[in-house]
Amino acid sequence: MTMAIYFLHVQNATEKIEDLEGEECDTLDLAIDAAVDSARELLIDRLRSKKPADGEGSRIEVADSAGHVLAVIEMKDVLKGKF
Amino acid sequence: LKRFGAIPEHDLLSSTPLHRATVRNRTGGYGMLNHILCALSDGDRGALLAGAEVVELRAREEIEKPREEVNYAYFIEAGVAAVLLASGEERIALGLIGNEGSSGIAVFLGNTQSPYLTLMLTEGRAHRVRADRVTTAMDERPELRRLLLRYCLAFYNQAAHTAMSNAASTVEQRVARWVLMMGDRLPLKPATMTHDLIAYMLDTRRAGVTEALGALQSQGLIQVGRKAVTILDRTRIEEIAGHFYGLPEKEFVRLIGTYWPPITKTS
Repeated sequence: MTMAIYFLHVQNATEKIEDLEGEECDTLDLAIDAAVDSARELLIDRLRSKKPADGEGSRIEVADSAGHVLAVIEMKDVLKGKF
Repeated sequence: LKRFGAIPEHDLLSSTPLHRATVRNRTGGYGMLNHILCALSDGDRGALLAGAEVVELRAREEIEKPREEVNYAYFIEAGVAAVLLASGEERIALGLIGNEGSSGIAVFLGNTQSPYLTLMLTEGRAHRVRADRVTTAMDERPELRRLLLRYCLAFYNQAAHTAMSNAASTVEQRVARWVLMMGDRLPLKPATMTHDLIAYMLDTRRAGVTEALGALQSQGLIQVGRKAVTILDRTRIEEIAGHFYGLPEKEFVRLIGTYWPPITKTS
């Protein structure tokens, strides 16, 4: 089984930051897990930095190499412990 | 986790031909770009380098392995190494060594083992000196001994600031510090560094690095390419890194006495 490359694009309060490198994961579920863990770290860092943590639209998009968005992790859902 | 395993091949860096050409042009082949070697008297340098070899180093080459005999000190002429502490599956970076410094701190401090892994992040070049030659030269040459011990203190300062930065800084501050530290040791522009490698070294996830680099870029401070970062406004990056960057570098200058790196902030 070949690993696919998934891209985790970060949308924060002001802009969308494209993931130009991507990361290899065995499955989409593992890519989603990585996105959720990333969202947790971003939330911690934003709170520590006194920046908006889970503002409207703040999320991580999991996309494939063709640019299709396969999953969206909303920061507010992570904050509420939905994952 | 991937970031705690082996660094993937694609994250490791290659020096450009220009890098090698620069080394040759400045030194006429095997001259001195290393700050420690430059700071030594001719006699001390000759004693230290008696029997030394100039070696090319590959990216991801482990020049010191944890709990294994340290047979050589590598006085780096080009390229960057990271000193890592590996514990279980986790690895954390203590600091970087470029042409300002050397591996072999355990030897300088009178031992031949350490718990640390010293890994080349880029390809490079170094004067490789046998550990017993280092020890003998230090025993015979008090000024050499004092300088190498002062370098140990300089590296200790760097590691202490890494610990402080990991504990207290934001990811943006940590990334700013890392960009400066890599830039200090890879002076050609752009300095090649992937987000994944930065994340690995900073013990954070790549998304945080991506966001921090994006923020620095949107402020016009860096230009981010797919595997390269170009510093556009060093002064403002230093401001963002704050007190997490600068003191070890200034202390290095005080301790070793050479001009490095190009710090712009005055406080």
